Amino acid sequence: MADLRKPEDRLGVKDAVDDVHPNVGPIAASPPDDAARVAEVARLYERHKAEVFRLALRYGAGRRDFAEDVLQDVFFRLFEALGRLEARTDLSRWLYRVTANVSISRIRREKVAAAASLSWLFGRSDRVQETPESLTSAHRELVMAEEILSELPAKERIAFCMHHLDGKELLEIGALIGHSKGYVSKLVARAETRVRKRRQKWR
Amino acid sequence: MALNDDELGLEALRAADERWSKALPSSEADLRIRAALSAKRPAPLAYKLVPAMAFSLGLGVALSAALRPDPAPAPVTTRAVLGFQPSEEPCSATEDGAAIVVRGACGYSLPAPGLHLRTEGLAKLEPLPDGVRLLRGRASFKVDKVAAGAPPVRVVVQRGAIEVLGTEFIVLEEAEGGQVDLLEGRIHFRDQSGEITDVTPGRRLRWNNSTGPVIDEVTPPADPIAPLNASEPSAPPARAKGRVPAALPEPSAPPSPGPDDRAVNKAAFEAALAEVAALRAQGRYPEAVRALEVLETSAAGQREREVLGFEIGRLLEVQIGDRPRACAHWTAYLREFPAGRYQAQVARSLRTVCD
Repeated sequence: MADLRKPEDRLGVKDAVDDVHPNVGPIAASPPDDAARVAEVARLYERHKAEVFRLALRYGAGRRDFAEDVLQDVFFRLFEALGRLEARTDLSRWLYRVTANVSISRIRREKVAAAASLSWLFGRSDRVQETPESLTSAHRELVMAEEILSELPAKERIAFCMHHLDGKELLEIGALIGHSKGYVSKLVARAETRVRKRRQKWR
Repeated sequence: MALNDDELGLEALRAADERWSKALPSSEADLRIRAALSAKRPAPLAYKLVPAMAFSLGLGVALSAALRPDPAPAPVTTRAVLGFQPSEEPCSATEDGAAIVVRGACGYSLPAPGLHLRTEGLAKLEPLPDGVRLLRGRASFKVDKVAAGAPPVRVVVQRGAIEVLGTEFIVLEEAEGGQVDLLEGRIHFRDQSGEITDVTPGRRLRWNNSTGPVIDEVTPPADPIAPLNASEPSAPPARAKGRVPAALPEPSAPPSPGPDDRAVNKAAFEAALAEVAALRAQGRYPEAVRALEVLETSAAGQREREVLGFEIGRLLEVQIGDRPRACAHWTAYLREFPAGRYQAQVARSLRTVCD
């Protein structure tokens, strides 16, 4: 049975935790205490870390350090929200939304502290700096994808990915990231323009 | 204008997304996250945000006034300041009494104690004969390995000192308190009363100034390696700190284990991994490599071999610094896992260690 409420009603607030979904979710009903919550979050982490990590890698333009930080933040949020989530919550959808919003926050924070790269100190740059000789076809695609995504501002990046990679409608994206359909349309259009310009430079 | 897939690079994006869908967090990150979640403390997230906001909104104003010498000396960009040797340009630092005030991301070294640091944003640091005092701000530190028997290098904060024997860690010091995240190696925190708290990799130790000298520690689970989804409440035997592995699995795996056998093997495998983690925590990297190599030969699954091989390579490259061996290892690794999850990192390492 479909949920007849508008997405905005269900997901109007960015980090709302009341998005009840008809699919029975894998969340245990109201874990009674901290120990049970810990166990439940640990179980859910094992079960869902791959899907969250994949999204975070995408939003981080392939950066593992970014994705690992987002992964941790998302599951901390789950820990905090667990008591308020209903047993029928579609957890994958909840994680999808929270991963997007956590990623937006993190991308913005990184921009503010753009000089805060630790890679200098530890010699760890998770973004691969490829030389032309080393680029295989697969690597070229990967590097191109990373460059495309890293060119985009936070919300444009998330909206662009949701729209073009996940096939989400503008209205749904708006509900997920807390904006109107019109604004999301602008975000996607701006992102497309940036990407097109970037692609033209390569040619 | 309608844009087609090629104009938007969607083919490349989809291909990349497909690759990312097969990725998992590194074993180190996985361990760290599991430990943090098991410590039932979502606070670290809030803790990171609160000082950031407070710093920018309130303290920033006060600090900018407090830290500004009057008259302001000219920023120093290239020369050493109070013993701090700049290791990266451009840097902007000013002397403020016995300390320096650094704005932005700057790299400095203190050659005598063998300490390298990188600041982020506004930071105030004072050189010490055996280390540095972080008066305010956030900085990352890397300490050269301390010779056996030599006193530790110290990073002093308001509520104590982080004593280091060669490691990598990040310290945040704010008005309300601070924290240290240990990335690699071993440190301990000595508070003002002299009480010592050990910190092992993947752990965060926090202190809070407003409630006095209280060490607020994010404790890892009793068994950080044990599967967190285990339904049995009985945990594997707790490992004594620093215990040497009594017996790592021999390189013999049954050809096709049944479900029970797999469970037993998994438990043994994870126990052995935990022993490796203990060795790493003690800085006994060659022994950790040997233990990992034994584990690798007994690992039945490709995924396990991939992860173990990656850990071995990281130890050889980063911790031990044996470039020829790391080069040989990464070359063989890339042959075995040409499209593995660590491909990008391994390719980068290859270029670094094989040049």
